[in-house]
Amino acid sequence: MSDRIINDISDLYHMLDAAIQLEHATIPPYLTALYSIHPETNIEASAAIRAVLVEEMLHMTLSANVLNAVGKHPDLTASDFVPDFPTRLPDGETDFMVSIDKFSPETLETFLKIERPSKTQVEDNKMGPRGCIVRNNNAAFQLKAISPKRAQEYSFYSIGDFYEAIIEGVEYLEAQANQNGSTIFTGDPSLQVSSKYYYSGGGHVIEVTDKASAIQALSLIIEQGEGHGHAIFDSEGEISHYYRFEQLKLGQFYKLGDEPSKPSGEKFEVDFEKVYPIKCNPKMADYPKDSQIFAAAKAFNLNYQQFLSMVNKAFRGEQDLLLGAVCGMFRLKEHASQLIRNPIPNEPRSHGGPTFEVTGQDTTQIDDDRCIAETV
Amino acid sequence: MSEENSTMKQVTPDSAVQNSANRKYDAVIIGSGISGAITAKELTAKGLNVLMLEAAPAKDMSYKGFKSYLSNYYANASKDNNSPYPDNPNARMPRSTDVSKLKPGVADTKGYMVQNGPLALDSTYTRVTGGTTMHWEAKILRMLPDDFSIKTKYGVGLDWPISYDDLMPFYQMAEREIGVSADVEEQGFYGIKYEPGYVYPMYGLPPSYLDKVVAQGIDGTEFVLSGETHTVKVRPFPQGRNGIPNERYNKGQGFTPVGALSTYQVEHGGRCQGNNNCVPICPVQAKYDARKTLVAAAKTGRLDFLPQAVASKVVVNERDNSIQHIEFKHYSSTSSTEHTVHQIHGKIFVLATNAIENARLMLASKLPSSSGLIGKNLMDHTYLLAWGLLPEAAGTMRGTKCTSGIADFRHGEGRKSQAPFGVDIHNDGWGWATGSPFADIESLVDEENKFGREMRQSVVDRISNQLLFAFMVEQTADESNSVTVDEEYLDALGNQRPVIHYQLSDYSKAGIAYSRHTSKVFFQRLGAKDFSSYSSLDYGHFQYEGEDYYFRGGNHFSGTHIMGTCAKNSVVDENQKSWDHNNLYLIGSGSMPSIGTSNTTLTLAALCYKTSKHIIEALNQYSVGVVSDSDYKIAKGASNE
Amino acid sequence: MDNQTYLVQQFTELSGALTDFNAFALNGTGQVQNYYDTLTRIVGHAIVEELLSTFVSLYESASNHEQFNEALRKHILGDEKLGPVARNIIKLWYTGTWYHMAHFWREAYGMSEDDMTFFVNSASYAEGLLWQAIDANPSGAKGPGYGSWSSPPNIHFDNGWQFKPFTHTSK
Repeated sequence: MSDRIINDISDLYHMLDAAIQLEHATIPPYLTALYSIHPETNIEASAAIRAVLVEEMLHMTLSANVLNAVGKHPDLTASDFVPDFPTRLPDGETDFMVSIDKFSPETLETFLKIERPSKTQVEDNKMGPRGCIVRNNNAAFQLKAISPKRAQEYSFYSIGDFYEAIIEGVEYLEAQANQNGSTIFTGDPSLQVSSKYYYSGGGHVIEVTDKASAIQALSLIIEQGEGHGHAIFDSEGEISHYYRFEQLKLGQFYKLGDEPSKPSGEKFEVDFEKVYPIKCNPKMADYPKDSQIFAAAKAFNLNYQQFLSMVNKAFRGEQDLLLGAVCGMFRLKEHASQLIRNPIPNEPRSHGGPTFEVTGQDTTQIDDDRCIAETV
Repeated sequence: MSEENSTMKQVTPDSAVQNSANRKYDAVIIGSGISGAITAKELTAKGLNVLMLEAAPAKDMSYKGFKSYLSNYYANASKDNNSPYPDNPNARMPRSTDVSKLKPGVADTKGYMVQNGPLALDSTYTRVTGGTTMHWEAKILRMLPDDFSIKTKYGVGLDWPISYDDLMPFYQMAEREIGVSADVEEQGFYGIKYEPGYVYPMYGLPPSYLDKVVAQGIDGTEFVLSGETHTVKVRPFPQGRNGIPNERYNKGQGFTPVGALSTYQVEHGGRCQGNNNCVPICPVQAKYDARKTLVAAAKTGRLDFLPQAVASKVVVNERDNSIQHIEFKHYSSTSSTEHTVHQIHGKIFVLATNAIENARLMLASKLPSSSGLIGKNLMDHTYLLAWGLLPEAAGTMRGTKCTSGIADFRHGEGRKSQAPFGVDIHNDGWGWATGSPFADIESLVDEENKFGREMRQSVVDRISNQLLFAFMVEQTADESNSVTVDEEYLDALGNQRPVIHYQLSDYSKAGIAYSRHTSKVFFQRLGAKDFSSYSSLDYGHFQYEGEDYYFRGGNHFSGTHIMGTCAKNSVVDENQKSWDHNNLYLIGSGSMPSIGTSNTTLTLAALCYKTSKHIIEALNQYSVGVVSDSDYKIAKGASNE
Repeated sequence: MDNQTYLVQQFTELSGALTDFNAFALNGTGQVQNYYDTLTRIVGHAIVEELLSTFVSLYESASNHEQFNEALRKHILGDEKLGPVARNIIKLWYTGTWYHMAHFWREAYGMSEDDMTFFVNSASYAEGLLWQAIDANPSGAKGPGYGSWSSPPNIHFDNGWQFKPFTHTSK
């Protein structure tokens, strides 16, 4: 077996599909934690989660642009696109669970793990694909981004290794294609989501048309998520996700020039009491069938599926649907907030929450007489 | 954005005084609203050193400070246009809630502005960092070419010393700075023209559903006025808020919208979300406010910003009548009147407070004036409101405050005999007229005794069907409308308060009456029930030809230091430079000799670009250490298109 | 269920009957407890309990919604003591504002120093039901997204309050 993970274009398709799924998978946990916070409280915590969430949406869009650029459309309506929470992510030798849950010290720890600067394995792995190891619980992982397609018995050492593999694949395949006088960037440029339809404080979307722009897009994902090495701020003074969250743990902002774990900026309070007590990883089965909360949670899932369908279409050429999808997202936010503020009948100490149990059928009946990143 | 970038460097009064004694400052600008901010940005981009004094604190430059404005607004039982902004006795501001019906011959001193009458004017401005752009609505219209010469063409008001063509390149620069969303194809009417190939920085905002309902009912309605037929067409307004960037802008370079400020580690999206709250505060900062320009100026490192410094006196050098220094009072807390008094020196001085405060400061400084016109010719747009209920739910209370209106009464021969007007279709329903929607809830529960399903249905029928037209009527220059000062009326720091003398001419009233006439035709065509009523108890009440009306101020104070062709007929020249003091500029809408039927901000911003260019050229002659022209071109950008 | 929980639940049901928003929608505002506390602080526990027990007995004895509404109008909204309180509850829910009670009522039943017109908290303004009723966002909050204003409003009564739905306990 080759050391390289991506050896042909179908490998690359698979990996980019997996990247989109992975970026999306962080959205339900961040979204739920964000909306669990009582309104008008925890301003700093809300702002931090919101900022990260907005960038995850950008990352999803960037991955979709890369995939479209190499000639394949994303599929957000695939039946396994939304994972069943809790779901596992790799963290070096170990792994951890990501849940749909309220904002709490434990949730914050999980967020820190999601965004932890990449652990890269020492290069002593002669046997398997680069950046991968064998795990005995490999089967417990749901997300496609965990294992290389051709070596399912292996899993990536970390998320950073996953993205490194994509960049390596893009470079390899494009070099091969160039030798034959062709290119892998054969996608329709009009499918690229542009800043006309997507912009937010989370950075500018990059239209991908060639190797350089593809690598720029993929590097931006890596940089925003993990920062460069252990740098707290990037060259533009933006703080990376990990340190953004760490500030919430430490109750103090970082300033330029600070050392990790030693912020010297303004102090602030994080009040974990000012949070609705959402049941961890709620499922439809937790809600009595004839209750109002059941109906609302069901409606939320349907709306969420419609939202994914709309984004899916937007990634397939109907870009102006992104405007409508943004509005749909705003409404989802209101629906999620309502669920989160309602106690579960017969379980009054636990509040409801969106379950994100999406069946993955393409709901063509989009509520399109009404109307991503700017919504949260 | 890093913390360092998001807050402005502030100086202490002592270091500002020290710097000024060391002749550091090329320009001293009083006021951090849009006029001062644009001038500061232009001058610092050219390498000049600027000191800016701001009467208010600068807390809103942080995210927390901005959020506190929002919380104030949410919690404030009154939702008037200054409700988010805390009361500051050391630099008070007018509030519409202070205005009540005047008794003849008795000045009303309740509010900051003393109302001397005969009519009470409820217009306001905002004395916070960023000025009145914090609460402005951000409809951003160019003036019609005819508006610059109404005296010559229609025999009313005053002419400008410059024309639309003179201002055209500066309009472009202002539209770039503010980030205007509009489509040229929909805006070039009644003489408005653009450079060939020009597009606005962003595409026009979509019209509201309400706009579409109204357009369907009234488009094509014809009115004959002074022998000319005016055919009505509902058109979208240019908006000073972020929409979709136009990729064709700037010869295909596109446009990058300026997002929210004061967002240290907060990534707020910059696109309008339809919060329906442009006035008094856009919660997502999609709407332009002058802090965006201020921060850009501060990034040059050449802007020293001194908040909590209230300019109190302009002092003249007896020898050549130039300004020698400006005196200011610095306070350390809004809860105490304790303050220190300082003097500041500079090569030139720019008063950029606003039309009322500029005149107030000049008058309080007791400077002689060749024209005697400082404070006179006070103008504002006069609003008549007409409100009705549509036969169906029109989705009122959604969108920006106002997305479309009617421009077809802004022009024409009718201007010889009655004031022209623009028309706004208000997406916020009857709010301005009746206090809707809260007033509707009160009346449904307490008077109509609704509850349950009937209540809920009535809420829909009463609110979602609302339609309010606001007619913005031109007011022409009239020396008897004025701002003065009086030793008797002082604020907490001992500064003289503005005294307003205000009346409507028959020319204005005829325009108002005609606008009411058009509203009746519109309501009829829409099948809407007309709910307009103008009580004689209202503070804006007047009668005209036997009919009752009331008016509202448009918050477009202007004309108090008009520009003209010589020291006898005006206070400033076409570059807003004082005729009497060769190192003093009075900038902003106070310089406008007529205001047409356009909200004043775009035109005053364009004037500030013209003035900045002039100041830079003038100071260049002193040969100060200025940066190269190529840097300047990058900074000013829009002029090169 | 302790007495406090019971009272808050009855308050929620009464609020539903008065506003035509079901318990899920009312809970969804996050304001139930805040409004209940505001009400009891200003008009006092005794009157609130009287109001709620009157409501419960009207509810139990009515056999259909129409009959219930008639009784509600006569014995609560049309009651000189309870009527002004009930009307304040409607306005509270629709606007997030506590309105000070009429002079007559204050003279007769209570003179709380807190009885003035105010927003219950800085979030209550944005949670006013009036905005939901007309499918609009509260002016200044919960922006619905660029261009959303171009479509007709989606006005519906799906979360309306129901009189004795078949599974009363599951609410």
